[in-house]
Amino acid sequence: MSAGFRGGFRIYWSTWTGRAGLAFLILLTAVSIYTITVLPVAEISRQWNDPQHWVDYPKSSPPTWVNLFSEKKLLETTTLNFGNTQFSGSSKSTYLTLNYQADSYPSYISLSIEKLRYTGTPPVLVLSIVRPDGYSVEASRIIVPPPRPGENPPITRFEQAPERVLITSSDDLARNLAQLYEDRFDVIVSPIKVLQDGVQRYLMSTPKDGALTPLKGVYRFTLTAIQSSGETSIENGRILMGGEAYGLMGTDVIGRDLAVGLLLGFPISLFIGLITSIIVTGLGASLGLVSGYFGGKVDNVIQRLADFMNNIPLLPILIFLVFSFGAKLWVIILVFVAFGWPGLTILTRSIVLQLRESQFIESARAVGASSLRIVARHIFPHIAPFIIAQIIFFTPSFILLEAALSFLGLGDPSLPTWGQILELGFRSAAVYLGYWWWILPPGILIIITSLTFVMISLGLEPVINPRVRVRSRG
Amino acid sequence: MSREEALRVEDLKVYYMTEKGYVRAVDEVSFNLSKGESLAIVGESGSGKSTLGMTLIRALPKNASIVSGRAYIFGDEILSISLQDFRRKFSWRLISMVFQGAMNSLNPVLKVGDQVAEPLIYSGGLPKEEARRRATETIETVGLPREFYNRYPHELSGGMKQRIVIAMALVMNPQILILDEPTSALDVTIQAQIINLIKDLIDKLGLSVIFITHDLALASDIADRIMVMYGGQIMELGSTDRVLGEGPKHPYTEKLLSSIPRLRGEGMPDFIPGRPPDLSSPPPGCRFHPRCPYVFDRCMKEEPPLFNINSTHLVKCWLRGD
Amino acid sequence: MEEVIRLENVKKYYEVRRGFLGSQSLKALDGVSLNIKKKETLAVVGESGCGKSTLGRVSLRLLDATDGRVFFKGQDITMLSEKELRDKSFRKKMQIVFQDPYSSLNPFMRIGNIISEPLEIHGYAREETREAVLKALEDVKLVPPEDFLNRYPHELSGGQRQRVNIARALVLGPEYIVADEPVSMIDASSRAEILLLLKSIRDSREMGVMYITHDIATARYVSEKIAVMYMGEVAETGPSSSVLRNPIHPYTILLLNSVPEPNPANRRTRRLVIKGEPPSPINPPSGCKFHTRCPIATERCRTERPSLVEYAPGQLVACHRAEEVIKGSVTVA
Repeated sequence: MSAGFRGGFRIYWSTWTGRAGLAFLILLTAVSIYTITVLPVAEISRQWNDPQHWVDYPKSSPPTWVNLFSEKKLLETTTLNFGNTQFSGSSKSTYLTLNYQADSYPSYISLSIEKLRYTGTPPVLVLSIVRPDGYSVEASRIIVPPPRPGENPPITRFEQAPERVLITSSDDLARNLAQLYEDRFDVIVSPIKVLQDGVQRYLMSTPKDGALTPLKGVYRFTLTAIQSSGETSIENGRILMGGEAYGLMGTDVIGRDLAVGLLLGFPISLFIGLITSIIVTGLGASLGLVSGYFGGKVDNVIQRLADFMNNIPLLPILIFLVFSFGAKLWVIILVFVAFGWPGLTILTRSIVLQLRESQFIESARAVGASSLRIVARHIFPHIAPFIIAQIIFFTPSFILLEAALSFLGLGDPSLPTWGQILELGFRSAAVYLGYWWWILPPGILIIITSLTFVMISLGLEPVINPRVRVRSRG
Repeated sequence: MSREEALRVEDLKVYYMTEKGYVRAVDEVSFNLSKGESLAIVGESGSGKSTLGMTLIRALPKNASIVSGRAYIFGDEILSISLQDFRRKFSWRLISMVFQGAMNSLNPVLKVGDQVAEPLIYSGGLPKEEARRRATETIETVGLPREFYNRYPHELSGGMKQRIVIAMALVMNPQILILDEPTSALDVTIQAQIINLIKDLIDKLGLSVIFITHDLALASDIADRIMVMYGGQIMELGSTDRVLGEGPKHPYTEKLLSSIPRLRGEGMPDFIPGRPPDLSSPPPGCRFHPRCPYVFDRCMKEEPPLFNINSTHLVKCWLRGD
Repeated sequence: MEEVIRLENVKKYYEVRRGFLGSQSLKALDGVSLNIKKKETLAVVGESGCGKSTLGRVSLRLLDATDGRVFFKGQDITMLSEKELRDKSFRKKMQIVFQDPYSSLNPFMRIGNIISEPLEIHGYAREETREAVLKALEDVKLVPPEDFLNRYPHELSGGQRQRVNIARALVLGPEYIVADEPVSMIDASSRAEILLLLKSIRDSREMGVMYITHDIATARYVSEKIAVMYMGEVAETGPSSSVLRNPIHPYTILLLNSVPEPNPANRRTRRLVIKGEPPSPINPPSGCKFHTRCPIATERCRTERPSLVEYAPGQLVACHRAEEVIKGSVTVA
């Protein structure tokens, strides 16, 4: 006990669990701090549950690095940017090229433009595609609405939300492709079949021996503004080709970038674990202190309450409360606290009861120390190491409990926690479909985080309980 | 002293290994004990008296090691043989010990009689019935009624528990009994009862006794000879009649004796200023010199040998020889 | 001399649960009266469980008496609340020195803080506090005092720790001190030193001391008066010299006989001992509580409780056969 901070740390550091736990904790904390400081957390958590935000992302895609390990290369999601473009004078068109070398097709192709401004007559934007074999096909048209009465040029359109055209579901393109296949390859295919099979398959293939083979090479996407008079400009024009692989951690069924969700899970898990643990420990220890030191009626009330809370089943109450108050984080933390304190209270009380009888406490009473002073100056320092150990010891249980609750669908849906990610994965049958990137990372992170705190408390044990120290040395 | 020799210890050194280095708990200790004789080892905490007792029944803690020395029980060396051999041939049946505070380490869930019988079964290999009979006899020997066999420790008072612990040590009829502070936790009236019991046992069983105590007065109650230890070494060794009757010859013994509060007589009890030496770095010369009222130059430089005042009285002090 | 503490017929009962049905009372103190004057030490002597520690704590109001009254310098403090005791400076003037030098000091506090805490509680200024702490350390011969201020209890020997305890008790300038077995856990060679220290401090500070001990031999060196307790009652009390030289109560006589003296002749004799052990305090014997172990008990002792009667100047004895013991018509030992 009197080994002091340095001595205590030396004992802690001599255990491998202590060293590993501290290393992991530093890692977890670093990632959390990075997430909070670098990422716009508030915005991301708002976007997280907005399906509109994720439409452009491939759905249920594995991470891109799987290409490193597999023969068949999966297409990565690619964005072609027109950027801010001015359509004026003679050059009424602009183009982008894509060298396409994948063995498969994009899941979709879309065109987006923002903040279109024009003077003169309303323009029509036409996207046409020239394939590597030189054949050209018109993909899509965007007809810009004319000025409303009273509107003065320049007229601005698509300001509130970008105009997005999913060209892979465009009837026009399907029809044009059916025509192309008939004219050039003597293949008869109906536009409806093109739509059903996937427009992109026909767009990026040549028929060979009655089957479609990917046509590799340079594709040229040309955007033209057709306008009888005046000028047109757009901002942030881009073509998105949905890949089959996305980012570092893949995506879920809505297309959400799991890397973002998992990253956000770090601070949230630590927050839930630590905050709940601190509140539970603080409350439990304080009640134990009061109960043990003052005894009498207070003691009786606290102990009976502790017994009561200790013996009601947590889960049904939790379900009930979540139904009545909604699945909010504070409700969950509140319930954890309400059910977490009794064990510690009973433990602290027994320690305090023993301390209260010691002579130095009697000595403090004899010199006239107030109860407050005795508790703060004489009893608290004795139980402080124990309390700190308890905070660390409790943390993983609350991380796990939160994950378990989320898994049962009782979590706060507004925050992306690892438990929530897991839960949606299971709900979407990710396990049966083999979407491992959706299930394994959050699971592993939950385990690592819990283990971190378990290892730290194992390392702390010989510091706080000298009997363990002797045993582990002997 | 023509009686048969029960125990002889020669040049014993027992050191503890600690973070601060070697602690010389027992340093160059030699003595003997005749059959039927009782020897009191007197010293304060840290004098090495308990370590000496534990060495003789081979119960030293792991960080202690016997650096040198031999001990013979009825002629057989006991420190160099294996622990198994020692346990098979010597412990309980020839030599046994009542540890300090042993009465508080009785197993609370076992009948005290069964605890007394334990060595008979596990070490003596007796059948249970026979062990039970012998244990009951021993319980009667220490002055408790035979029904106490079936009691549990919490049903006994401190004095009764101390009797049970003594019964445990005696159950296999050892020749040598080591008692380490057998009365230190007891009230003075109960202490007197236990001392009387020990005297009876010595007379009745012809035991050779080593009585470890911090109290010279108690030592005078039991011991034929007194061995005073300080800082792991023997300071004075002689018959009780000489050491207490004629008066101590070593300054430490003298001071220890005069610090005992008396019921009669004039003057305050004395005290020894300072504190016992740190045995990881004992003072040079005589280990008692920093606290000795008669200290002179030589004491600080040279360690005195044990001077023979006469054949039975040894004193480790420069005042007593040259 | 002025009276510092007076106890009048103090009783302390504890409720002890027995099975399911109700409880019984354990009479730790059963009607004890005594007083201690300035520059006077009363030694309270008895075996473990006789109630002597309880008596000390009741006199300090660290325990509440079940019945009876406690006076400090003539003021009745029996019913004062903890806050009143502190605010009216009673806590400052009454202190205790504990038995166990190891558990009586908070291991997390430095010596300087341990000694200054009482001053802090009673709102002394900083310079004043520092001076008083250094003075207290000097008074208990922990010198130079500066060397001890920043040490922790575990760095000190038992004797030194006990001095710290005394310094802490002294720092507020008390007028009454309870010393509860202050030397029983200290090496024999240092005991007298601590006892002498306590005595000289008592004289220089003119305090009243209650010296609680199981060791009747030390009592005569430090105390003017002795109270011998048996099972929550005073068996015999009086000037130390008379009680030790001419004990009257059979318990005192036998207790004195049990004390070992260093004498080579001891081993050729048997001690005269008190037979048996003290009975359970929950079910104490009727009449005189000592009758179950008393060698001269009569029928009257079994039924009638003796009260304290003065048989010699200042010497009070609770024994029906005291007269006969004095006359020598009956011998205990």
